[in-house]
Amino acid sequence: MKIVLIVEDDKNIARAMGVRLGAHGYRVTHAYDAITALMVAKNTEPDLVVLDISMPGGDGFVVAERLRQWKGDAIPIIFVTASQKPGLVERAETLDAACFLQKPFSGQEFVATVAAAI
Amino acid sequence: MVWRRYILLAEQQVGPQYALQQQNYRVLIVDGDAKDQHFYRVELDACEQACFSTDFVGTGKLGLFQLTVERYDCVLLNYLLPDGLGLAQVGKYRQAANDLDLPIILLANASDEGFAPQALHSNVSDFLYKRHVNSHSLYLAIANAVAKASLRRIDGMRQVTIETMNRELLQKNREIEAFYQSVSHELKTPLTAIREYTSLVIDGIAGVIPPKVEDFLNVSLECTDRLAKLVDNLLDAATIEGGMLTLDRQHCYLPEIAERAVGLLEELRQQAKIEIQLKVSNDIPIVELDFDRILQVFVNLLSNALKFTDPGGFIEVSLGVDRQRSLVTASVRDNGRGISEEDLLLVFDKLYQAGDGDVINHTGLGIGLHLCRNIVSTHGGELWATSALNEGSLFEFTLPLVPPGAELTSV
Repeated sequence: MKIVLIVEDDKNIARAMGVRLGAHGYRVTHAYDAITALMVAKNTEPDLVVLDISMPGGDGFVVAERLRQWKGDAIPIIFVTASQKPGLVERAETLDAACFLQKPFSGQEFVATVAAAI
Repeated sequence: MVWRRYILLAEQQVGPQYALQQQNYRVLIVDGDAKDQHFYRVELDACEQACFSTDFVGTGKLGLFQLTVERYDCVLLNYLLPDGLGLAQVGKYRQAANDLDLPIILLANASDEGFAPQALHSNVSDFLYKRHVNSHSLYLAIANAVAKASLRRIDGMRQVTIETMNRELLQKNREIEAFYQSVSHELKTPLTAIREYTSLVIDGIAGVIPPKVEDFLNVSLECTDRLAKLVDNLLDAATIEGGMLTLDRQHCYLPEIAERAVGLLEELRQQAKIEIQLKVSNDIPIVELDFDRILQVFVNLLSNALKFTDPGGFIEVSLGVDRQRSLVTASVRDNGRGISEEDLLLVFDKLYQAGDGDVINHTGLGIGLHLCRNIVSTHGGELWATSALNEGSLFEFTLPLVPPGAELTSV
């Protein structure tokens, strides 16, 4: 069973994403801030990380940079954000992101993106 | 309007009165020759248009000292002084007086060689040959120099206020932009949750639901999507309004963008039972455009056409090229309800909305066309509309073949 780590500080959104991925047969672990995300990533060895960009305690990019330092580009990363600040997509590209999803996204699109990235 | 207010403010601070209306002048005369000093005093005393109070010093150095202790409206400076050239003092005098616009008039004898060219190239307010000097010419020279200096002060003041204001406005723009960014983010976070939970129920992930419930929830889902789009529009409007719109220009084939827009609206088109035809002239070149922004323009124009055309109607999208004017041209024509003459003047206004009261089908913030026009003009093109009530509307826009500012590099 593939493990997906969802790093998202909004617990409602995190739960919804978890429920959907769970229904599609993934095992889901959660982290609600950047620091916990790194700890969980170290302990659970996820097959994919869904990363929110704006979070307390360091943004998603910081988490992604650290993950890349540890494991190279072995773990696919999907960025999700509700922010439309310019330059985010470009930054995600430099971190070799598998995908960049703008919130709100459709559940089907989300599952398809996860399946394609894993 | 804001600029005007600042300029008025500057005038209030400096005083808009010009020195020609001034009647009293304090003048410092720097001349080593006692006879000449006497001559100036007599001439200035004889002047009927104004009152002069004068101080005399004999050397450049004394003049410098005098200017640090007293304030003068004007300095009459002799070209030759016992301690050097008067010209050499000009900068120092203004510094000493702490007034970079201090009027200084240079005076010389006809025999002083090189006087005129040097005076011309220096920063003096005026220069006179002593033999031409009389009461009236002195008065005019002083009054003019003082008037010019006071205008320059107002100008400088305006410059400073304008620069300050410009900085403030830019800062304000950045703050507004940041505010809209965070509002958009804050609105979209709960929207994402609403959308996803609704969608989870519709998809049966929380258990099987009756068709009617699915129907109702689909309405919720659509509305959520529309709300998200409105938030996007708001942010876009703020970005463009604040002059923050930066184009991501890429080599684009305009018909590809138009086709994409038509594709995006296919579902809406089918619902509206309207035919869309794409007419493309076959010599359209690749142009540097912001694909997504121009796509937004097409989507906006097309969805407007779909909104305001009745079932069975017809929309034609034409794309062409005008080599003579170096433009690509695009138009969206419909045979819908059209726009009245008075509304046509308003459709590009920021908050305009067609006054048909059909709130359910035609909601929106009314910023679509305003945005479109901004996007097109940021590309260096134009967007306009023609229409007749009940006959249909025609929206046309042009885009330059070569982006503005790129002409030099592309030759």
